[in-house]
Amino acid sequence: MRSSLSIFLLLVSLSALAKDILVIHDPVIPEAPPSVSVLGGFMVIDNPTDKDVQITAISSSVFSRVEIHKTVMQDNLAKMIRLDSLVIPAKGSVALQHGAYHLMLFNPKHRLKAGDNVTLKLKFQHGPSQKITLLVSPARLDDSHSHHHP
Amino acid sequence: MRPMSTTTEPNPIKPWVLLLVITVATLIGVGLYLGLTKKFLSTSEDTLPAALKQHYLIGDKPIVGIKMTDQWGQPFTEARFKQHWTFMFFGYTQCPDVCPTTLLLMKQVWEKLPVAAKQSPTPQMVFVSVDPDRDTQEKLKDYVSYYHPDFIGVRSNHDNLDVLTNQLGVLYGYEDGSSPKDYTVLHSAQLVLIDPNGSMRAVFSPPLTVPDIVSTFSKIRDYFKG
Repeated sequence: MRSSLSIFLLLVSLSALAKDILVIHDPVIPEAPPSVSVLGGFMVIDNPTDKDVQITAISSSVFSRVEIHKTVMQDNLAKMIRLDSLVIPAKGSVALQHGAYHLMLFNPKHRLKAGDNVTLKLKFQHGPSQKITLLVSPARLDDSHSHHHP
Repeated sequence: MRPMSTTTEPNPIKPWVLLLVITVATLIGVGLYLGLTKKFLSTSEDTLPAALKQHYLIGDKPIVGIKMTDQWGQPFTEARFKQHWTFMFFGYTQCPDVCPTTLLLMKQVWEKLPVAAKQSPTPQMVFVSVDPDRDTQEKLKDYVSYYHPDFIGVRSNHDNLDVLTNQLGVLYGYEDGSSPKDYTVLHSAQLVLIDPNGSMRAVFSPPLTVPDIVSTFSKIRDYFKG
């Protein structure tokens, strides 16, 4: 289910590759309780080019603001650090995942439910911006055993 | 010099003998005490199963003075610990990463606990807000019930929150965000386990995993029962 979804999203990403610089895998927003006004965004970003790509800003019509954060765990204390930009190294990739980098999506205009799609616009230090689509997914643990029910 | 020594002659017990006796008696006493204490301590640690050494806390220190409120507006005091094994996590609802992950983990632990581990004293899952200014009772209700209808959400003013966090050694703090309303919260990410007598009995530190917590909890129950 998850892998077919990723292949599908990969194909979607590839079909749009003509102009896009970055390749995005598994872009998801875990569904959150209705009262939550800050959502997390997760994905893996590949940079197939020979040059580092610096994401300097992210915007969306659905959110009042989008920020890039990093969770830091120090002496069992969880802390979030806001980053001004995120560099995707040449021929490299950066994972936005739980316990590490993630997007902070502030004040959704409407309740986002599993199955919804949300478009974000990535702005780079150089070159044209790139649109990406995130899928709102049911909240679940990354743990692959999580969906095996007895 | 002579007259001095003659005054002590009549006393059958010389002062240095008395001093020696006291010293020896004291040494025996101290030795006995240390020996017994060491024996007692080593007994407690020896009987502790190896699997529990990383988590289990020896000794009783009942949590007191708790004046908080749950998501239904009911008082949450230390009386709520009685006859329950309480899993407690500290976080805030506007937390996009660590808190949802931990609540999902708590949900899975809840679903995977074997029947034996759900007998009386029954376990309960409690989420404590360390951001009471933004986490109203209504928000807390919405938040915890999204993860599981049986979960308990607890809040209070800062003073009463500190009464609890200080006794558990849980830390939290605030950092400016990009707007005054959007400050971020840093918080301890451990899962704390409180026994049915109201003492902190175990701490699970990140990285938390469902199988580890489920199996360790069952062992703790068995060991605690004795």
